[in-house]
Amino acid sequence: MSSLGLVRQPGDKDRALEEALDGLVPHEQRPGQALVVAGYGAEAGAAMTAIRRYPAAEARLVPFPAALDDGLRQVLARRGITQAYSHQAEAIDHVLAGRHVVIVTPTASGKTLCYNGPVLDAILHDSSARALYLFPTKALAQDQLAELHALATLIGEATDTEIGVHTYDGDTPQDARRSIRTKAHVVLSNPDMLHSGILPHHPRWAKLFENLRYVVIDELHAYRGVFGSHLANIMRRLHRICRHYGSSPVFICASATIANPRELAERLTEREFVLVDQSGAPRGEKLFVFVNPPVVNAQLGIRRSYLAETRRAALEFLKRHLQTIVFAQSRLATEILTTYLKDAMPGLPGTADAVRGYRGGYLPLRRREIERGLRDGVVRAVVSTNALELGIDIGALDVCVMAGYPGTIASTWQRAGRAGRRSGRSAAVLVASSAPLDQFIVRHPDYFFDSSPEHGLINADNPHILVDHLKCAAFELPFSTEEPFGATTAPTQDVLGVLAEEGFVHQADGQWHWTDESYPADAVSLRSVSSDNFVVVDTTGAAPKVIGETDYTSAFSTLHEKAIYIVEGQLYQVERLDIEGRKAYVRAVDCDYYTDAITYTKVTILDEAEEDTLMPASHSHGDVHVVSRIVGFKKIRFYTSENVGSGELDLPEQPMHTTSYWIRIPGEVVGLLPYSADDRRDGVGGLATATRTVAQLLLMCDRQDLGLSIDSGGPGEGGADAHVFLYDNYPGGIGLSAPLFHMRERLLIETRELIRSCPCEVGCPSCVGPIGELGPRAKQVALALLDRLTGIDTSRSLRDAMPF
Amino acid sequence: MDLSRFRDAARQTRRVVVPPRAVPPARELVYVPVDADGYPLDQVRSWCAESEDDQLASSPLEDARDVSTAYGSCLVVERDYLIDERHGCWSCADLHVEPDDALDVLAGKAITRAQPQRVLYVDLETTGLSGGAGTVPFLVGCAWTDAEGVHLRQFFLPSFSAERALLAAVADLVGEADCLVTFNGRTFDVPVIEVRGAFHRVAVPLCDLPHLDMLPPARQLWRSASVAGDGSCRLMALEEALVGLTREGDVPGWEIPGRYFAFIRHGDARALEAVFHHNRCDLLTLAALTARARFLVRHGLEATASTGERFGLARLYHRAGRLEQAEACYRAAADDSEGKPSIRGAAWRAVALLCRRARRYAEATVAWEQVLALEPEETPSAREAREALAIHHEHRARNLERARAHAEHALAIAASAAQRAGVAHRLARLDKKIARQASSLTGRFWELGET
Repeated sequence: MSSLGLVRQPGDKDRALEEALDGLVPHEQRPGQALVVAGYGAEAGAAMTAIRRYPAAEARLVPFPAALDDGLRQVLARRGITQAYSHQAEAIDHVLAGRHVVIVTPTASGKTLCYNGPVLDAILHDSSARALYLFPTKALAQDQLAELHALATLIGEATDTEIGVHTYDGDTPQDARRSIRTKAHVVLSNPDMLHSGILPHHPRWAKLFENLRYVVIDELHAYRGVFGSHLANIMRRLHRICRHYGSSPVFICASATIANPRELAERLTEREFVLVDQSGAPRGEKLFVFVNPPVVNAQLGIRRSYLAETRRAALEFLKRHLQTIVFAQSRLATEILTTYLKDAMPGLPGTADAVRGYRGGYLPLRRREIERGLRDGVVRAVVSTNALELGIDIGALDVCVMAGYPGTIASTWQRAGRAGRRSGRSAAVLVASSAPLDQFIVRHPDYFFDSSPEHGLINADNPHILVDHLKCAAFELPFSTEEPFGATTAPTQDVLGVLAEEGFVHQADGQWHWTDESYPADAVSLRSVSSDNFVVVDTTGAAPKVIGETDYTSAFSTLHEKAIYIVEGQLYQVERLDIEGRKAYVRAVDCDYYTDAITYTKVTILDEAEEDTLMPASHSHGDVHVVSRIVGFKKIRFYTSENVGSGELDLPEQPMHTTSYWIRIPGEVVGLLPYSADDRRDGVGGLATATRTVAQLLLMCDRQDLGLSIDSGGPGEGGADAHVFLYDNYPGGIGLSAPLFHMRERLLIETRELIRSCPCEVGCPSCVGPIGELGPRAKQVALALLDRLTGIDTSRSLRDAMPF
Repeated sequence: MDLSRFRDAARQTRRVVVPPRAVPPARELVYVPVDADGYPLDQVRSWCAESEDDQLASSPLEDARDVSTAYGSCLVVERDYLIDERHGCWSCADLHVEPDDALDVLAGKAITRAQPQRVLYVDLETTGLSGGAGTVPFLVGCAWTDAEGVHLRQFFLPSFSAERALLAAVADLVGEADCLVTFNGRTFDVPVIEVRGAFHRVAVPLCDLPHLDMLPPARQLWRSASVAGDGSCRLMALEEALVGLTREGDVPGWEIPGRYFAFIRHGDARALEAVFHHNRCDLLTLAALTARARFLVRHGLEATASTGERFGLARLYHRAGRLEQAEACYRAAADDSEGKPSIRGAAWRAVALLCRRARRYAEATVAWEQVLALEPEETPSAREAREALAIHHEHRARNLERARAHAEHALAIAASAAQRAGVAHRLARLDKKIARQASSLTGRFWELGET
C-alpha cells in the first residue's frame, strides 16, 4: 500500500505475481496431476487445472496513411504519436476509402484512434462534417469525451478551427441542447438517447443528419440479445432519416473479441463491413490460471465454496500489494465478496477505502469516486459485477480474479483484459464454482482456450421489438406504400396494415402517416421489459435517503419483504416493498445471513412452429406463455452457506410471451422406467438441468438468456407427458429457440456425455444438480432416459446440426 | 405470414403507452366499440351529433376555399368579425388597436424596430402535444384586425401530403405582417412550425417575425385574477375573467387530435367544427387579451381595474424602465385597501426599492414600515424590511436603539446561517456603538458633574 511508503521497482511486481501464484496452490497440484480430482479427500487443497502463458508482443508500427490530414498528423506527433499501430493504419485506410469497418483488437490497443482519426480528418477538410458516436452507457461516453475533447482542442488550436465535441444524453442541460444540435461536430450519445431524444426530433438535428459522415458504434459486443435487437431497429430508423436528409454515413464499429464481429456489425447496421482484427499494439506477458476448489464431499460432489476460494486467491495478490479486480457473477456475490475482503483487509486507519464494491445500482457519484480511486491506486481491490467489464477507464490493474465462470468465453476474455493493459506481467485467475458450466470449463480447459468466443446473436425481427420501432419510424417519417423497413424479413406493409387497424397509422396518397397523439419512443425501453425502476430507501436514520436502485424485473427477487439487501458490505433488511410507488424501504441490520429468492415458473404452449418426433420423445419450438412468480426465499448463512431458514412470499405474477424449445417425453416412456415415481421425477429434473447447461454451451449465450421450466408429468405408467422447456428469457424471444431445435440431436448426445463423464457417484451440482434437491437416483434415471432418447438416433449425421 | 404476433405486439404496447404529459387521454382507458378502421364508433357519432346541434351546423369545410401555392393547395376558412359583432363583453371593433409601443413593454424588450402596423395573432391545433417529428399542425389559425374589426383565416390540412402547401400559404400571409402574437407560442406554436419547416426543408418566415408571447405578461397582469384562483393562467380561465365568456361544450384539448384523425380516416369533417370554433375563440380571446394589455400600458394607472392589474402593470413598466409610471402603479396597488395583503406587501417592497435607488430614503423607510405592517413576520420580505430599516436607523437616522430592535427581529427570523452571521455581526457592532454612546454620554455627565 502506497501509504506504507513502500516503493516498488518494476521488476518487483513481476516477482510478487509469481509468488502469489505459487501461494495459490501447492506445486504437486499443478496441471498434470490436477485432473485426477476424484481421489481428493476433504483436506485436499485447490487444484490448478490449467495455466497458460501468453507471451508479450512487440508493437508493429507503420506510418499513418498519407491521406490523413497533415495538421492532424502534426498534432498527433506533438502528443508523441508519430506512427500508427498496423491495425490503426489499416482501419483508417478502409474508412477513408468509404468502407464500413469493424475493428476487433484487445483492450488498450488504441481502437479509438481508428475512428477519431478519420472523423477529425473529415472535420478539418469540411467544417460542416458531422459524426455520431454511440456507446452502450452514458458513463462510457463521458469517459471518451475527455480524450476526444483534448485531441480536438489541440487540433483546433493548431489549425485554427473550432471543433465542437459534446455528449448528448439524459444529463445534458436543456439550455445546452440547442447549440449542441446545430454546432457540435461530434455528438457522443447512447442508443437510448438516439432512440427517444434524437431520431424523433430529427428536424431539429437537420444539420447533423444532412452532414453525417460517420457513425461510430463502440463496444459492439454489448449489442447482443434484446439490446442488440433494439439497436438494429434503431439503425433502420437512422438509415431512413439519413436518406431523408441525403446523407449516407460510413459506419465504424469497435468490439472486444466475439466470434462473429463482422456478422454482428452487418446485422446491426444492414451494411457490408470489412474486418480489421490483427492488432499491432504491444502487450505485456499474461498468465491465465484456472482454479477448481477442492472437493469436500466426494460422494455428494460438493466442493469448497468458490466464494471462499476466490477470497483466498484475491488475498494472495492483495497482501503482495498487487492491485486486483474481482469479478463476481451477481450483485449478491459482489456484496458477499466485498464483505469478505473488507473483513480480511481492515486496513490501517485512513486506509479503510482500500477495498470497494462496484455494481449497477450504486449511485453515479459513488461509482465515479471508486473509478478515480482505482486510477489513483488508492483503491487496491474492487469487487465488481459485469459493470466494470466494459471500457470504463479504471487504469491498468495487475490481477483479475473471476469468482465463477462469467458464462461466455467473450466475457471471460473481456474481464481478464481489465488486468495488464500495456506492459509488464499480469494475471487472470478463474475460480470455478460447482455450477455445471464452470466445472465443464475447468475440466476441459482446451475447450475454453481453443474455441472461438461466442456469437453475438440478435433477432431484429422479434415482433415486439419490430412493432415498437416501426411505430417510432412512422412517427419520424411517413412510410411509403412500397417501402420496406430496413432489411426486415417481416412484411412491412402488412404490419403497417395491422398498425392501421389499431389506429396508429393511416394510409393516404401512397404514404402511411402517424395518426396517434402519443410519442411512441416513450413507451419503448431498450434495456429491459419495462423502463420502471425501484428505488431503495434507507429509513435507518432520521431522514430517509435513497441508497440504490433496481430494475423492475429483478426488484421482486431482491427487494421482497424480509430480503437482505447489501450495499458495499452493509446489510439492510427490506421492511416494505411498495410496488405501486416503486419503492423499497430498508433498515440497516446486522445479521449473519443473506437471502435467496425461490421462483416458480409455469409455461403454456401457444403455438407450435415445428415439431420433430424423434421417437420416443418429440421436440418442438414455438410460442409460449411463461408466468413466473417469486413464492418464497431462503436464508443462507455467510461463509458456511448453510440454509438457516426460509419464508413464503405472495408477490404478483410476471407474465411473458416468448419463444421456446421443448422436449416432450410421453408419459408411458417415463412410466416404463423401472424406478419409483419420485426417482422418475428427479430423473426428468436432472435431465433438464444438464440439458440447459449444454444448450447454453452450444448456443454460446448468456446464462440469463435461457429460462428453464420442467413439467415432470403425471405419476405412473399412463401418466401425463413430461415437458422440458428451454425458453428465450425475453418477451417475444431473441432467436435462441429455433437454433436450439435444429441442434436437438447434438443437444441430447452432449447432455448424455456431460452426465456420463461426470466423476461424481450419484449426481452433483456439476451434472444433474445437487443431491438434496434431487434424490439419490437422479443421475441414474436421467442417464437411462437419455439412453432411450438418443438410442435410435446416434446413427444420424450430426454435421448439419450446428446452425452457425 | 401470420400477423397475429404483430397484432398482439401492437396491442400490448398500446396498453402500456405512457400518457401524454399534458392531459391524460381518457380514450385509451375506457373501452369503446370501434368501427372497421379500429376507430371508436360512439365517439365519432357523438362528435358529429354535437356539431349538428351547433348553430353553425355541418362541416366547417363547406365554406372552405382552395389556396394554391407552389407546393400544391390547402384549404382556408375565412371569417370576419365586424363592428357589430361581439366576443364576450368585447365589441369586435374594439379589438383593433392603433400602432403603439406597448408590445415592447409587454414583451419586456424591444421586439420591433418600429411600431407594428399589422399584428398577426396565431394559434395552432396539432396532432399531439409531445412535439417531435410526428406532431403536425393541422389547423393554423391566423387573425388580424383593422378598423372594421377582426379578420380570421384558418389554414387547414386536408391531408398530410398538403403540409408544404399549408406552410407556404401561411408564409404568404405572414409576409404581410410585421409582428406575431401568440399565447405560449414561445414554447409551443413557434417551435412546432419551426420543426415542420426543418422537416420539409422549407423556410418558415413565421419564425423570423418579431414575436410577443402573451403568456408571460398575462401572468404578470392577471395571475391573481384567474378564476381558478390557483395562479394558473390558462387562456380559458382568462377568457372567463376578462372577456366574460364561458364556453359551452368546448372541445377539450386532448380530444382534438382524435377528431382530426377521425376526419383523416372517414373524411367526415363535421366533428371538426368544434375544433375550428375552439380555435376561433382562442384567437379572438388572444386578440382581446392583447388589446386589454396594450390599453393598460397606454393609459396606465387610471385604466387598471384591480390591485393585481396595477401591480402587474407596475412590474411591466418597471422592467421596461418606465420607473415613474411603475412607481405610480405600485403605490396604487399598495394603497388599495381591498387588495390582497400579499400583493400590497410586495407592492410596498417594490416602492421601497425604487425609492432607495432614487435616494429618497425617507419615502423608502415609510414603505418598508408598510411592508412590515402587511407581511407576516417570517417572510423573506419582512426580513428584508427589517434589515433595510436597521441599516437606515443605524447609518442615516442614527437611532441606534431602533436599529437594534429591527436587527433583533431580523436575527429571530434569519433563514440561513449566513444571514444569521450577518445580522449577528450588525448586532454586535450596534451594541458596541450603543455602549460607546452611553459611555461618552456618561463621560459628559461626569464632566458636567465636575464643573
